[in-house]
Amino acid sequence: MKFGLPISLALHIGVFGGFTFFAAEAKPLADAKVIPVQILTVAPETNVSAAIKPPKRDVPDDLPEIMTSPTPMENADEVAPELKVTPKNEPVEKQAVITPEVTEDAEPIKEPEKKPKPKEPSFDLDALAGLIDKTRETAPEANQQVALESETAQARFEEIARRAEGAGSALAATEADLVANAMYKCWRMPAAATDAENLQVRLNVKLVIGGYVESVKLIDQAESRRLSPGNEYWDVAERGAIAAVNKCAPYDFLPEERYGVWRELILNLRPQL
Amino acid sequence: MTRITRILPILAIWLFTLLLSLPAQAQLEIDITKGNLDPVQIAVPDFLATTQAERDLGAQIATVIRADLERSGLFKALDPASFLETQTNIDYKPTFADWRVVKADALVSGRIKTESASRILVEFRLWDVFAGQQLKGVRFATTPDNWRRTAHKASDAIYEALTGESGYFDSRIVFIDEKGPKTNKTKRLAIMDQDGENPVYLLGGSDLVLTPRFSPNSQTIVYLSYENDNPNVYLLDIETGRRELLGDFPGMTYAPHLSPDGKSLILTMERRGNNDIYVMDLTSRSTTRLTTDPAIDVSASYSPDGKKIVFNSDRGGTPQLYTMDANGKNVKRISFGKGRYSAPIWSPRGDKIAFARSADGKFGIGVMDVDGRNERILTESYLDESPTWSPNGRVIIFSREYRGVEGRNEVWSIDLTGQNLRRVETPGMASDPAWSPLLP
Repeated sequence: MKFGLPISLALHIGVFGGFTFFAAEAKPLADAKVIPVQILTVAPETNVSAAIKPPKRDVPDDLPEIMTSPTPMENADEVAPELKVTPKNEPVEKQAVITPEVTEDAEPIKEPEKKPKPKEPSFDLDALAGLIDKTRETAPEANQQVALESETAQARFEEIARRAEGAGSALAATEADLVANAMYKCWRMPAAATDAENLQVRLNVKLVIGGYVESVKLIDQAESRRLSPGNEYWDVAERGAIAAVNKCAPYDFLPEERYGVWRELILNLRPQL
Repeated sequence: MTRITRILPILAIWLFTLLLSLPAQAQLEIDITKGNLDPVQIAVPDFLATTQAERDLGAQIATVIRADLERSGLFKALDPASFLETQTNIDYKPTFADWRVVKADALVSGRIKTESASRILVEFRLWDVFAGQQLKGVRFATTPDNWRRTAHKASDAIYEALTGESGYFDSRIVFIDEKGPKTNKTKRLAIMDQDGENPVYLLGGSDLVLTPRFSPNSQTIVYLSYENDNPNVYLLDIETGRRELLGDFPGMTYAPHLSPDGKSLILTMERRGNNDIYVMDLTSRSTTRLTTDPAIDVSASYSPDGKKIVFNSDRGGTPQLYTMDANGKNVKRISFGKGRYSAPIWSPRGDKIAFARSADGKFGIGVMDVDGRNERILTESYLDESPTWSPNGRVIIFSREYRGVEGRNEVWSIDLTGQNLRRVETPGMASDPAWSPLLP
């Protein structure tokens, strides 16, 4: 009997732990879907139509039926003038699609946070908007791990950073290029060293706003040094790498609104001669 | 049972920390594979002093250090006229910002103090300008007329601190000084500092002297002389001037080289029309034959640990490079490129072999790994030959001959990486250089 509790604990931890591992991989996708939510919250009325547009194709079967439904039309009329959009292409269509679309959008939102329940029979845009607003407030703590924990501390960049999240990887690549280009000028490769290509140095660089260096630290030093054991050039290679980071400062070419992303960098200096 | 209950919490904590650590990895990680190969910008202001005599010395020492470092190709000595800060005391930290402005990576601030008429102190500190810290502080006590060697020693210390390998500035080069046209040359054995200063003839006469070679670890050379009309091998201690004929061999003896421990000599001897490599014990004067091939085996050179020998043989049809154990066993061909290979020399660092190669009517100096891989030809000209390594295995000097009867013979140097080709200052025409180990 005494075995029961420990075994149960172990199994639980194993199963839930494993599940968390796999679930973590799916998070980037969920993140991408945050964007439509934002658009909705900016101005519920106007954005309704915008949010609806892309997924049209998903419900082509319903189209004929919905087109005939007159009730939503009135709502649409209200929306249309405010929008000042010139919806020449059948406003009915857009209108009708609203209901299924929004729910579809809302479902992914649930993943991070289960508060909004848009499946309620009485669909109310205001209510939904309210819910989503809450999501925004609580998002950083509750369900935005993937959007970098650092963002929570940087409230003033949060908004912009999150908006860029969809294209996050692409932008990050640009920042990496910017840093790599700068380092080309500042980093003198240890070309004269024996086994130079294995003199890899890993640095943790913390930057402050404005691109100045707060700290540079060698990391995984023992692991790196295993690449070329006993090489007498390690000291010089490591010092040179740190000097290069200092020499390149300030990194003022990095976009300030993305500070959350580049405030802490890992640099792998791997000379390729 | 109790064990399980003890382990479980640890397991649980471990799992939790593992899970917690996952989001922390979401840092921007950047691979940087390309840097520059520009020289290190170094500022060497004149050494501080109080008296005029000291000031002159301080300026001379700084000039020699700047020239040494610049000649290596790894440094660019900044023009002192551009310096913003004038230090008055080297014991305080310099104003690094001022040195960053003039784009100095490193700063050498030195001072000279006279202790007595025959004793001066030369001190310097080497600063890393961007890290804002001292890398080295050195003090030499010496006589005033020894300032040049002191400057070379300071250059070595700076070079070592900044590159991670030992320097080579406090060393000398033995060479054959040549006078007259190609058809009627006088060749004399001479020695100078590695920067071309203080040239001195080592032998009085005008006997034909060839192939001087330094002992890897002492200030002793072996060379060939036609003193008795036959080429014979001589040993010369440069410090004492003591000269010694190493045996009177029947037939030709040539291409002598001392072993790293200085106890034996390796050379080629011709016996009954066959040229083979022999090793001679310098104490007992007994010789042992190492190669037996009917082909010509020449230019043997030891590895720095004395365990291997590289040599040149035409046993494969054309002259190529081979290595073998010090006892002559385990012969292995290492060069496979086109052309003819000659004059292999093992680097003092042990990782490379330098050689001369002729192909398509051109001569050049090259390097390869000791197993023959990564062959690189570094120079090419009408005639480049006789490579020799700097004491740190970083630079190769060689003799270069120009076309024509009036074509000059000069000594040139090149970096191991093929950079920084430049002429070495010699008093006149020169050939067959041999670089000494670092002076004691």
